[in-house]
Amino acid sequence: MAPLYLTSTQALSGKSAICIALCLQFKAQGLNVGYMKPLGTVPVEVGGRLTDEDALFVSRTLQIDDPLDSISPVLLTPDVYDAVLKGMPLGLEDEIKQAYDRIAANRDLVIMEATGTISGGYSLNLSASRIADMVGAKAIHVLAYRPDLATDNLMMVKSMLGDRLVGAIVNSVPPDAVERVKVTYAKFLSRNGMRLFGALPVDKILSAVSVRELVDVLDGEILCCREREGDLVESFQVGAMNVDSALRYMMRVPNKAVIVGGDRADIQLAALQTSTKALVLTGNLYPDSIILSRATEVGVPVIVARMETMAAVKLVEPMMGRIRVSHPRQVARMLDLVDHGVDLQALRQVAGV
Amino acid sequence: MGEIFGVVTTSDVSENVGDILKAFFSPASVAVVGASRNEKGLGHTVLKNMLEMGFPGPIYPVNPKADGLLGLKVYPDLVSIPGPVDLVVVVVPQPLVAAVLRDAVAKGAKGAVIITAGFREVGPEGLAAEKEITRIAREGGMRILGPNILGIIDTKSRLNATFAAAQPEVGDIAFVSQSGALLTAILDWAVSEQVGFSKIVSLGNKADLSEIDMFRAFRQDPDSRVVVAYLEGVTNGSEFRKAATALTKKKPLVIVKSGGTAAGSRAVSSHTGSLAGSEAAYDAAFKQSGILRAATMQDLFDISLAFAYQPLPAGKRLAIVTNAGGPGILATDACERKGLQLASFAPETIARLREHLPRAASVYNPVDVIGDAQADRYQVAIDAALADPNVNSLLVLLTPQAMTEIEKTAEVVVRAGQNGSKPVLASFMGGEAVAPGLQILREGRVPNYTFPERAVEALVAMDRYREWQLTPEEQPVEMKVDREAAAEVIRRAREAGRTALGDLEARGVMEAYGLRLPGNKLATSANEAVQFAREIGYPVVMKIVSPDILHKSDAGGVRVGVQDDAEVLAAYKAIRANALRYKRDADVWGVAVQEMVKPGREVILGVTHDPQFGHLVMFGLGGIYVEVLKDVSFRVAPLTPSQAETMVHEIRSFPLLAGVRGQPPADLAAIVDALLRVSQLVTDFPEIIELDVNPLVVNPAGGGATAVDARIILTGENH
Repeated sequence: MAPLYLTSTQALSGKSAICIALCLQFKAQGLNVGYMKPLGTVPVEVGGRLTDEDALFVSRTLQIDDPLDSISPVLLTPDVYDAVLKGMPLGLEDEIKQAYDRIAANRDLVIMEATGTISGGYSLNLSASRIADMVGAKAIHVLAYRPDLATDNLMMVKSMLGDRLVGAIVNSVPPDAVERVKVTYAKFLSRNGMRLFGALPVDKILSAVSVRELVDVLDGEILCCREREGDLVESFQVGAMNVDSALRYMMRVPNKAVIVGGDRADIQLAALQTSTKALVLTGNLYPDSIILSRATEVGVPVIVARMETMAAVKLVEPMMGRIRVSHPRQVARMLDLVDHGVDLQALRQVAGV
Repeated sequence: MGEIFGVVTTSDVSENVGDILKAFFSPASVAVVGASRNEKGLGHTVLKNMLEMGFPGPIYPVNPKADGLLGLKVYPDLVSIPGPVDLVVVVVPQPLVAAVLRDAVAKGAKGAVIITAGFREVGPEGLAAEKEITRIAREGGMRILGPNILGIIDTKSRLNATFAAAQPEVGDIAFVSQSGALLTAILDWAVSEQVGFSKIVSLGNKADLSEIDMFRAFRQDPDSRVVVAYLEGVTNGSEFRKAATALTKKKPLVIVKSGGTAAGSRAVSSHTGSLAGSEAAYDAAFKQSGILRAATMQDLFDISLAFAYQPLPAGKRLAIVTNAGGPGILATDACERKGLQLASFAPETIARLREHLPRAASVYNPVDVIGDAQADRYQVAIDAALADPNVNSLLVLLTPQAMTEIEKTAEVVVRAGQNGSKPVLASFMGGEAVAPGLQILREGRVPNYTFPERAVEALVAMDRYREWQLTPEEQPVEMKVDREAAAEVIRRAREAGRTALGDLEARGVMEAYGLRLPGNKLATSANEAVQFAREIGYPVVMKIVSPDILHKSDAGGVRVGVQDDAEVLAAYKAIRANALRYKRDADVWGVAVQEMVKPGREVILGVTHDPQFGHLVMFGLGGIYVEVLKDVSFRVAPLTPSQAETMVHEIRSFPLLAGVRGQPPADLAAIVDALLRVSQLVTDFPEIIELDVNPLVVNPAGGGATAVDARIILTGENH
């Protein structure tokens, strides 16, 4: 068995979510699947020990009971780089190798996740190609769709990994570009000795955040419709314009959160009249009672935040499309997308299982 | 969203209108639940008003803590009342309302007037209570007026179930108000002005009955000659239009709609919890329903009194009789400015006036009977003017001068006002001196206005209403279109999650609906562009095609007048490069090579979506006329042919289309056709929330029109 090593050159490619979906799909096909992220990049503390955030999240979602220091044996912390700068010997290769052996024992297949940008580990002599060699992995490049399909990045990865890189999965493909990816890009890969393993369509649910997450990040107070706080918000709009323009704008975007001053009753109503999942009122201004009635009537949670609109936007904006796939609905959606959009059989062939 | 308007017909009247009229305006018996001994309490005032108005049927006060009130036996609850109860007036605290309504249903009441406040307007708990009482009433087959209202008055049936301090006089005006407090002020004013009403209704939260039900009821009400309303918003635009149209075919409807400014609209939102809606949409919807829109409360009563007291004119021609030159000129100016005409007298009229008036008088319209005129001279002039077949209406002006016989002249005017076929309005200008005359005019049902311009304003409204009554009923026409083809394009875009249709898609939709578009081909390489340009024929236009670039010119994505192969090659490369610079990650489908449309007059057709009335179609002349001068006309879709035609004629710059300085007229029929097709398109596809054809290049008459560019935006919401 050759482990499958998922690489990317940019953050937010959807690599972790695809790892989860692949593991679950293969598991459903009866395989005993393991997961590993050899190099951790985002440290998070669990039970007094540091581990990688992605590794923690993926293993929890998959309910894998391997110890976390096997799943993510090496953390690229500032201490590590300090040691590199001072020329101290680290000897981390063995740790990775041993961890892999522990994970792979009794497993039919192991899915491995590389660092977000492929450069991680180079100065430790733990480049992606080195790690792939150590465990005999086949690499699959994951990229988020761009009109130019980032061919430069792919060929750079190819030059780093050589024949170990067997192909690519394109994520977040707009519906209009599916054919372009499946035909033109697939041919491009094939000309360069690789293949297209899948194209996953862009999906609003995957990039959504829950109303609860909004409340938390804004440290806000939720005034009504608490039962809807699990609903997913796909995008947000700021209601600072006149009500006619606001309404036109709002009708175009479904399942949104609208951030608006607490004193703008007209914009609030416009939001409630269109497809809105949360109304965020800023400036610590409570809405008119009748607005609250209306929100209750249409089942839209109203959140009062203490900060001004621009400050709220600064908090909410980075969440959209950047928060990890975590909601059960999102995981289910990703599974569905991978099931339809990725050639699982071809991946099994590559892995030799 | 996405309400499609049905065809508006005057025959659409819900069957239970008669029941509503009877239950709420002429019930046989009334119970006042919450009638109290406390003289300052609302319940006490309601009971007192019922008694003072002289309601002829049984009145049952209900209060578990009192035995007798104002000489009436008090019942502990509704169920204990021996006889039947038609109408229940509820003035108990909010938490008790639901129980009262259950009793009312058990008692077989047909209607409930819920004066009590503390519902939707106070927040979610209030909303829950409001839903509960609405449910009780609906399940019990009972209608509700309110809650949170002043109450209801019918002067004819002597019903006054309000807590207002003033008792109105009997009159011909039915008044509906979304503000209860405003009503209290108007009632007080009306008493001092001796303005009478047939019915007065406060709408409050509109949990059940709304202005729409009232319009339907008043249409059948023989006691109301004119219906007036103060509204802050409407909830169901299409039903509102239907009900209003049916009403205005029978009697005038004058409305003040507040919240027309940005700040006013916010105030409406926080007051009523409804969006004020766009002014353009209200104006258009009102016009299309025959509603006369008054700008101010003053206008509302100026206009409605004229309708209440005087017959409709048969035409636009006005005669003015005055005892002073200045006011005559003021009235003449106003008349001309507002689109009325000053009547040209028949020779016999002039001869008759010349014979009876002093030499210094003016015998032509406006007739100046001069300062020393007494009632007899007014009499001569008024009789002559009214007898003239060229005169449709009469305005009598009076200034209080030394010789003026104010009261006698008022009597002359009142007699003239009873001629029965031509409306007579007066402007006895002044204050104290003319007051006795004003009293005579009021009693004689001749509306008087402090200044002549206001009288002219009322005449203009009468004239507009006359024209509306003459407007034949017309249905939108079905044009032959390829609906399936358009549906397919729209379906695909929605599936792809795009709300802005791409150029080619928009073309596909417009073509399917029969608009003429310039020849167009999508080139994906420079060589292909050359090939297409040759096929189409030079010169050509080249445009970037990308779903991510909506403003093509801003992106440097448009080249016009491209003359030959070399220019096509250069333009292709420049456009692609510009697009890349404008938006790096834009998805570019290619470059469209288009036929260069012959210059013509450029107009714009647009559609927006209004929350209350749905699709609103706009028309204007291209360029500065729309953007700077805002010279546009609006109508709510679907358009009828004559509405489309009026839209074209209505803009101020219409002469530019009709042809000025030797220019031939533009193909107006082609514009009307394009408007009707666009109207049908958005009506067929409610998911279209914005559409622009900009420009539609119009050739001289007979030459048709070409839609050079079209933009279509869809809602992102599910239907």
